[in-house]
Amino acid sequence: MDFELDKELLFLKEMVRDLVQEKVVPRAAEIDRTDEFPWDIKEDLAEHEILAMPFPEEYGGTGGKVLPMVIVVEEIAKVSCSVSMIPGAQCLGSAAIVLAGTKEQKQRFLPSLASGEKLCAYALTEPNAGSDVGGIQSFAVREGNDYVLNGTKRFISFGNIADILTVFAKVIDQNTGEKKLSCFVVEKGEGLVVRNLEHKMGVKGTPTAELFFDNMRVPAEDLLGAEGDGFKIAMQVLDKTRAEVAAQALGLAQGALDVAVQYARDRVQFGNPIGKFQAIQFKLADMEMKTQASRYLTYVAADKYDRKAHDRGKYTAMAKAFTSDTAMEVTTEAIQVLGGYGYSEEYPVERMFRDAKIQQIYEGTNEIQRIVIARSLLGRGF
Amino acid sequence: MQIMVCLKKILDPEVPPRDFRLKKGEMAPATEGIPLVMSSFDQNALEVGLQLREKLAGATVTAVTVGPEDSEDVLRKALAVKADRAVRVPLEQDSKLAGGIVAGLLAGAAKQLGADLVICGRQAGDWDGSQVGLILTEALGWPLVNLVMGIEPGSSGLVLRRELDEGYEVIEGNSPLVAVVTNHETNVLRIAKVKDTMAAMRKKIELFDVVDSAAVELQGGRIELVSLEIPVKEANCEMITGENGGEKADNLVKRLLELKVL
Repeated sequence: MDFELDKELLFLKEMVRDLVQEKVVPRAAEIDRTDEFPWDIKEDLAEHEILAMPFPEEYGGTGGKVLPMVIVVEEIAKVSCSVSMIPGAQCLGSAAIVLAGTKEQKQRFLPSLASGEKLCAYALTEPNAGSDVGGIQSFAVREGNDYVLNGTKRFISFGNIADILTVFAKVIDQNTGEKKLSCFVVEKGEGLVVRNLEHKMGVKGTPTAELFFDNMRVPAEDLLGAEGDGFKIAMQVLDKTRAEVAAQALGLAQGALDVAVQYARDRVQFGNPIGKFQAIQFKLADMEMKTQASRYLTYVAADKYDRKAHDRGKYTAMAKAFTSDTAMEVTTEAIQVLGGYGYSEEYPVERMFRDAKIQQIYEGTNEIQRIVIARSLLGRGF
Repeated sequence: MQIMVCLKKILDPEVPPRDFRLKKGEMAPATEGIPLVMSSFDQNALEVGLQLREKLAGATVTAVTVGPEDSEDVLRKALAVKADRAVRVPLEQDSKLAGGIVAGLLAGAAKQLGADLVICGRQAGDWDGSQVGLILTEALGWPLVNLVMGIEPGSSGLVLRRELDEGYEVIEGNSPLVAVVTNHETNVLRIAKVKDTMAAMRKKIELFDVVDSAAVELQGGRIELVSLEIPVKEANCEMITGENGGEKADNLVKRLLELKVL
């Protein structure tokens, strides 16, 4: 049994570290302060094929495996969770096409996403439907060769800057009135109004939007899967991308721990570096234990996903919930280790703390993850 | 044109001083827990080679290192930024003072490769020996251009650019020659792409056996390492007193003269 990453992945990690040091480190605090999307860094990520990672090679990607993506996202999130969300959102937004698209649909949409020329977003959440996916109210009606789409989507990461959206809505059968949750690839155009949602607590510089579909015509050929496949597709997407949220949280935890360790070695109080005091040592030890446990769980979950293991959904749920809870704890304790400095913008841990909170919420709240995990133990009747 | 770039794997010079330790009982740094990286001037040399290749149709870049198997990491990094070939010349012994041996082996590799241009970093980032490029030039019997920041193809050969205090010096030269490269904003090593990085791990690394090369006659061993220690820093604070600024300044000068600082 070998729990170490293979040399190829370690080498990839090193390459991303170089990229992060050169491009992201100098910008991380500024992105948080200005709350502006870093278009220049998006170009760097595209140029170095980070944005190509969610896609199969035949569509211009680098293979589409989850474990390499996890390694990359973790490495970026150590420095800037906001920047790590750029490949994260590209993966989330496109996953429905990768998982459920036909060859023609993939050929049409994926190459421009893999090159980074276009961005995409995942439009599932609504004002009254978050955890309760079945409560989606957006609807579509078939008219000739099109579906006519109506409804509102809220909290859509990158919804305003994405060119392509994967949108979930219920197709209403005009004869029977039956509603079937379905998934569409939507290219932005007439019938769509976008409003920016601002003033989030964290992950600044990652725009969040509200989308209003007003009789938007979507070609019937842009339906993913069949009518009624929406719930299955939504869950399959989240099974996959939860591992990447875990990676973001893991990067945050490791980044905060690194800052705390450095500070504990440097900061002198009562004539000694504070790292000599057991109160601080125990905090650091707890932070390390939880971060390492999170790392192994996240890597195992990603590896299980790539191997199509039957329990991959449970593992990505466990990794997401455990690691994001860890990130919240570790960033909180990092602020405590740094004391007043930790609470100030002079150090990055207060930013990491704010960025950690959303990890427990998006792509399925941690309460929903626990339901997924519990049902895997008890069976679907529970 | 066959461009050969010489690379060395070293302890990361960015490691904080407090993490730098010596091995117990040995005159060598402890490597445990410290990343090993491509020497920084060698990174500049590699970038100079890659940029020249892009401007010279048919040119190839071969990355060469001398050392044990684990030194192949720097070759993988070179392959990830799309060096065409990678060659390791095996050498198991510690090469820290064996600049002559390393230079001799590199000269042998250059001959075996049929290199037209050899590019080295100006000095290794660990021991700062600054010897290999020069001894290698001697071993090959080629001309040398030192402290180069960039090389371009010229109308009748190569144009090498050097940065001096008062400006730039441009030298035209014909191959074969050796260029020793210094750092400049134009020759920061590019960062690899994902596919090239993954592919680099699967590419072949050639082994050159050049131990018998005549060039190895330029042996090292002319330098003996007598002791190796980390300097102990002492910080003492002495307050200079005086009635006013002028008197304090006078007292400061007197004290500095006493201490022989001035």
